[in-house]
Formats: sequence, C-alpha cells, structure tokens
Amino acid sequence: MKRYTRCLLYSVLVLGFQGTSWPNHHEDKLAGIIDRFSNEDTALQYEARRELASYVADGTAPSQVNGAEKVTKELLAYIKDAKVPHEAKKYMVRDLARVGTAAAIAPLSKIMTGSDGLLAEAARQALEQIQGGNASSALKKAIDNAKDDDQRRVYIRTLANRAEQVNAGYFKRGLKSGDAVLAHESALALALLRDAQSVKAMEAAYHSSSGELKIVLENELLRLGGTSDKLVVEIQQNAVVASNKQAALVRVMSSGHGESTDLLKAALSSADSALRATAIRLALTHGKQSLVRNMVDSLSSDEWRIVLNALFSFAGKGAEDLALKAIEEGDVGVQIQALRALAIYGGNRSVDVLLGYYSGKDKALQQAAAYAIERMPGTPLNNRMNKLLKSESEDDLALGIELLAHRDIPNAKGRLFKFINGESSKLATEALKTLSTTANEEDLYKLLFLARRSEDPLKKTITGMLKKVASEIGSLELQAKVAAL
Amino acid sequence: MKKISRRSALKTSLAGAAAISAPMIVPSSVLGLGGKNTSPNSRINVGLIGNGKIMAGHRPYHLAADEVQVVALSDVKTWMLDEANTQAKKIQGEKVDTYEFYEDLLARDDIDAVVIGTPDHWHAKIAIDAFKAGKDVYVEKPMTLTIEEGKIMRATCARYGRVLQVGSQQRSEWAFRKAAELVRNGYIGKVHTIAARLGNFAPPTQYPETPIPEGLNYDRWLGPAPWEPYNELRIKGDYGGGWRRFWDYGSRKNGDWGAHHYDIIQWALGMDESGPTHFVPKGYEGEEYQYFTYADGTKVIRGYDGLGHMIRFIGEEGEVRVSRGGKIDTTPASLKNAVLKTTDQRLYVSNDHRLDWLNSIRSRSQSICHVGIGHRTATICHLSGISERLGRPIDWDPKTEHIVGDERAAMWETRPRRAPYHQVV
Repeated sequence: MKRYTRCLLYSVLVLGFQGTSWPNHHEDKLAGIIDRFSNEDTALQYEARRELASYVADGTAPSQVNGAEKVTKELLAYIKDAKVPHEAKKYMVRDLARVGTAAAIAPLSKIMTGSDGLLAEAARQALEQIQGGNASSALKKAIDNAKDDDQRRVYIRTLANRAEQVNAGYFKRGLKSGDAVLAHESALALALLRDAQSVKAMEAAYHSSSGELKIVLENELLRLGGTSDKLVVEIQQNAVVASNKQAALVRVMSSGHGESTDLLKAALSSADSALRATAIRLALTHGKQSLVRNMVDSLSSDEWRIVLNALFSFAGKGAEDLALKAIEEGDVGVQIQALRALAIYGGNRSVDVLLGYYSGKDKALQQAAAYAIERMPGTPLNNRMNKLLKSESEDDLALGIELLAHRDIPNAKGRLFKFINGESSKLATEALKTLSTTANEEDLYKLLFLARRSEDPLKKTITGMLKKVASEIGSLELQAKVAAL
Repeated sequence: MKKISRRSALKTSLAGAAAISAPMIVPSSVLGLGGKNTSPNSRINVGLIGNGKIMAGHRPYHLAADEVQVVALSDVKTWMLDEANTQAKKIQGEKVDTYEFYEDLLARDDIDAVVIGTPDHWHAKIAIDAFKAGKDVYVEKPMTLTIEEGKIMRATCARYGRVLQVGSQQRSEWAFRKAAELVRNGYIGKVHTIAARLGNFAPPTQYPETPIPEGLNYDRWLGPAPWEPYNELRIKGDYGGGWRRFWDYGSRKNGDWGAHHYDIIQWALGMDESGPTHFVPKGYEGEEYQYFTYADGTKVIRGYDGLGHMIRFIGEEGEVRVSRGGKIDTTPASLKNAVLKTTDQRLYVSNDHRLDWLNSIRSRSQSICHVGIGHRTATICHLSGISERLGRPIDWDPKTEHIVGDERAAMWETRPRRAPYHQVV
C-alpha cells in the first residue's frame, strides 16, 4: 500500500477515536479538521492541511453567499484560540491571503508584529493581498516601530505592494527623504501606483539621485507608460546600466519620437555591439531599412543574421538580392539562414542556387536548401522541376524524382509510376524511394498490382518496398496481400 | 553528384524524410570535432544557473558546443557546483567561476546569456533580473509559477529586446511538428477532442524536519515560497517527485508534463496567442478526467486513452497520435506520409531546441518557444492546477487574461511571496 493511502486510512481512524477537543466548535467540520493537525505524524498533519484547503475553497466558492466573510470569521476564531495547534494556525493564516476580508486586517496586523516569526510572515503576506480596511495605518505604525532596516524595508514593501493611491503622498515624501531604505522602496511603490503625479515625482527624483536609487528609478521609469519622451531620450543617451540604453532605444522607436532617427543612427555606429544589434533590428522593423542597406558591405556575420531575420522589410527583389548576397558571405550559419529565407523571398534567380546547394556535399546546407524547396511559393521551382523530369540526363531525372519527395507538384504520383514502369532500373528505384515517403493506401495498391505483373528484378524491388511501407501505413487487408506476394 | 548519399544523408539526419530542417550554427559536438573551433570573441558566453538534475542535460551540451563558452555556474547547493565544475574542466578544459548567488553571475559584463534550471518558483525572478542585466535566457519549463509572473516576464523581455527560449523542447522534435502541421491544415478535419497523458505524482505531504546540510542555503532555495521545515526529499530533484510533488514550487504534473503536451496542443490549434476558456477538475460532479475546453468547443482531456501515445488529436475525418522519439501514427495510416502543399501553413522548424535558442541570440529573432508562447502554455498549466486545488471549474478570458466570475479563484493568478523575496517587476 502506498504511503499516502496508508496515511489517509490512518487519519480516518485517528479522527474517529480522537473525537474533538474544541468544545466551542465541536459540531463543525472545521473543528474536526483542526483536530487532525494535532497528530504527531507530519504526513497526517498534511492530510489535515489538504482538508483545510478544500474546506476554505468550498466555503468561498462563488455559489456561497457571503462565503469569504463567513470563512474569514471562522478562521480568525480558531487562529486566536490558544489551544489550536500551531501548524493549523500557520495554514489558516496563509489561507487568509486569498480569502480574507477586511475583517481580518486588525487581527493580522497584530500577528504580523507578534513574536511568532512564521505566523508573522504569513500575516504580512495576507495583509499585502487583502484589499480594503485600514491596513495602511497598521503598516505605517509597524514601519515606525521596526526593529531594524531589514524589517522596515519589508513593511514598506508590503505597504507598497498594496498599491493604494491613498499612500501616494507618503511615498512621494519618502522618495525625497534622504532615507536610503525609504527612498528606494518609495521609488518602487510609486511605480506600482503608475499615476501621472507619481511618475512626475520619480522623474524629478531621477535627476537628483545617484547610485542604487538612480538605477531603480531608471528601470522603473522605462517600465512605466507615463514617462516623458524627453526623459526616455535622456536615459537612452546617459543610462547608468548599459542594457537600459537598449531598452530606451526600443521605447524611443516605438513612440516615434522626433529624435528617434538620430538616436538610431548613433546606435548603429556605436562600439557597443549589443546596442548596435538592437539598432539594426529596430531599423529594419521601423521602416528605416535604408540605414541598414548602406551598411551591408560592413556587416558582421551576426549582423547579417539580424538582417536576414527581418528581410520582410525589404520589399520585392530587394529581399532576394540580400539573401543571395548573404549566401556569398561564406559564414555557414549565415548561408543556412539565407537559404531558408529563399523559401519566402526566392524567385527565378534562386532556383539554381537552391538546387546547387541541395546537390552539394555539405549536409547542413543540403538541409537548408531542402527546407526552401519544400516551401518556396510560385512557379519558378515547379517549372524547373518539370524541366528536370523531362531531361535527357539520367542524373537530372533522378534529381527531379528525388525532389518530388519534398515538393507536391501536379501529377507527381503519375510521374513516379511512369518511371517505375520505365526502362531505367535506376530511375525506377529512385521513384520507389520517393514513393516510400509519399505513398498513400491507393498508391500501395497500385504498386501491389504492378508487383504481381512484374518480373524480377523490378518485382523484387517493389515487393521489398511494399513490405516495409505497408507495415507502417497500409491497412491490415493490404498487409495480408503484400505478405502473400 | 552523389545523389544516393544525399538522400541518405538527409533522411538520416532528419529522422524522417518529411522533416526538413536546417541548423544555422553547427556545434562541434554535432560535427564530431574535439575542440572549439569558433574564436573566443565570437562565442556566446553562457552562465548556468541551477545545476541540479535538469541542468545535467543542458550543461554538457553547452560545454561542448562550438559557439558557446560556459563561463560561470551558480547554485545554492554548493556541492553541486563542485560536480558541475569538474565536468566543465573535463569537457571545456578548465574550471569556471562559481557563485552561490545568481545575482553575482548576472553582474558580470562578459556573460551574454543564461540557462535557468532551478525549480519553477525561481524561474521568473531570475529571468527578469537577467533581462534587466541585458542577458538572453533559456528557462526550463514551465516558464513560471504564476500567471502574473508570466505577464511581467513577457513585458520585461519585450522592453529589453531579449531572446528567451522556454524548455518545452517537444516543439523541436519533427514528429510533433508534423502532427501539428497535419492538425493545423485540416488533414483530420475539425478537431473536437484531444487527449494528453501527463501521469501522476503522489499527493504533496509534510516530511519530518531534518538538519539542513552544510553547503545548502535553504532559505535561498525556498526563496519566495512559504517556509517549511527542511527535509532532503522536499528539495530533491526527482522526475518522479521531489520538489515537483509540491504545489509550493510548481504546478505538479500539470506544470511538469503539461508544459510539454499543452504546448504542442496550443501549437497545433494555432492558439499560441490565446488559450482555453473553461477548466474542469477531475472528480467534479463525477468527471472521470480533468479537462479544459477552447471557445470553439475543442476539448482537451488529461489522461484519456492515448492509444499508446502521449498526445492524441481526434478530428472529424481522422486522428493524429504522437509521442517522443519520432513516433507518430495517423488514421488513416498513410496520412503521416502526406507531402504538405506549398499553400499549407508551415510551422517554425527547429530540430535542436538549444541550438534554436543560440541561433535566435545571433539573429535577435524570436525563438521557437519564445516568452509569449511560454507564458500562454504555462497559463494553462497554472489554471489546470488552480482548478484542481479549488476542486471547482473556473472560467478564463484569454483576451483580458483573467479568471472571470470567481473572485477568490482570481486571487490565485498570483501567489504571496515570502519576504524578502518580494514580487518581481
């Protein structure tokens, strides 16, 4: 028997024998659950925890009228009962974080500043979540009486995370207070409030701040929609943290700020390769591709990859030209990406390039070419395949047959059967190989018919292929017929 | 022209002729080369955060990859750093710097990207800090612990223009892509039912308190999760349980395997920017299986018969069944041989999930399982878990991204965080 099953059975027995220890609540279900927290076996305590969770969930379901109010009241009654096991209180206080109503705020505030660290932290978390009531004044009192800066920071952050507009003034003053802990937490608090006045206060503080506070403000101001374009430009040029220059450039380009093109040009010529990479990506996705086009002769391999990733921004032949140029660059990573790009942007001039790499010796480039051959839209590739399939050259014919495994062109199956029935055993074998990856049940029946009519070596070749493929995709009826060949 | 070898080469390398892919970076390990061939200046410098069980798969890959230089390791279980560094020396030739606190690793200017292999409850905080430090991120699945974390991660990733890959690596397996393409393009008609097999963990429990071993910063391991007494079994990296068994650190099987299979279902249905609308737990009004439904009625059942497969898509005109290891079956059987038309909707091709991330770092492009996708998939994991924990159905609006009609269930979109590990922004 698995341990948890044993635990469940045991706990039922324990519940039966223990009866109840809570005379005030002995008739209710919750009392029974709390009883089980007294068990010394921690696993059985956890069974009670699961029942408590279910009790709280069921009691606060949308179908329950005033469910949260009732459950909050019940939980609070047990939490203040000295005889209730500590483990039960721990989970009940935690549950209040999700179901507690404003009625819980005063008792939780008392627990938060009490001597039981575990319950205090659970109460603090609950106070962070429960809306309404007068939690703010209790938290401010706790802030004033905190034993050290760590505890003070925690209480301030709790107040901040409640994101109550009524505390905006408190945090604005805190930001200017000169108190490092309060100023830092106030910056985060105002960012959570997000209103225009809070953002304005943060902008003002940004100019006069330094060190950690400036970094916090820089991060938060970039996050907030209300930050002025002027300040974002300032951060783009003078950010303390390098990655914030990139983030600010993203923001400037998105907002279409008047200085965006100048900032973009500066970033494109920056010595910071990460900033330059961001600038190339942004130029290509914000209609400034001409700035990048002027750079193509000096692009690094990684920069080529960024360009290839945004080829859509180069209309018409421009995209195909760039992809073909990238293939000439020589870096295998760039070549592969460029070949794949031809699946979308390739035209007449790309067909021979693709077939060349498909027929080459480099496996990675073959795969990239095959990827494009499968997907390239329009007629240029189909025309070329038709030409190959009508060629006098057996090698060309074989290539054409092989490509039919990758690309569905009109009458492809009919052509393959024609080669199977043809004079060249080499081409018949090639056609069978292609069919082995593209055939359906109907095709396999045709092959069965052919096999019955044929003589060796063709019969042997078809039979071998049929036995392998029919077992994978054929019906049971077909498999039986193939087995009888 | 060596045609036969080409066909063979393509088939061998693709594990199926229908799956055509192309890596853009070829690691030396793939090429069978012994050392690193790319110059140090053009390598991606990577830090590995959380060096437990899951990182044991990522670490040797990155240590051996030609275009990667692993430069730092971090973990709160310091003995794991010793083991990891021994491997670093063996594969990469020298030991690297190690850190107990990931912040010290992120503070290094020479690190371009990080792999996060911690338990789920640390994913979002570390990833967001990494974005802010200008690092790209590969984060294990599920991407987050809560829905709220996912929203913040998505916004921060976009703000800093970073690349993120979530480790739902089935997207980089050809059979799952093939299955998704068949479903997307209507080859089995309108899909009405999907079954996914996630398995089960034993219920969470409370272990007896035992002494915290030397070399473990347990408070730090718990981070924002509620304080619970230490026991090795609670924090153990174990695919059969360990920390994955507990709600405090993840979403149990819904997060563990759901992050793989729900991800493929979202992909196949074209719902990467949306999601289901209704979640029902197992046992509710006698329901034999947990399930969720999309707005069009498509039903996804957890545990229903998969006919030997991990995921089973059932349409009006056929079925697709798919599993790891390139295992795909269809009804009719020959459907898996269908050559897709050039007019069919084709899906992003990756046959190497980690490599796809490295490619995206180079090209500054979205990876196959980017932050938006990871967030939507994780949202399904979390909503399934919330419904299970509450024991009642919940409704979700994928546009506003909020639980509707259940004020208390909506409180579970986030979780209280233990001080001083406050909410991430």
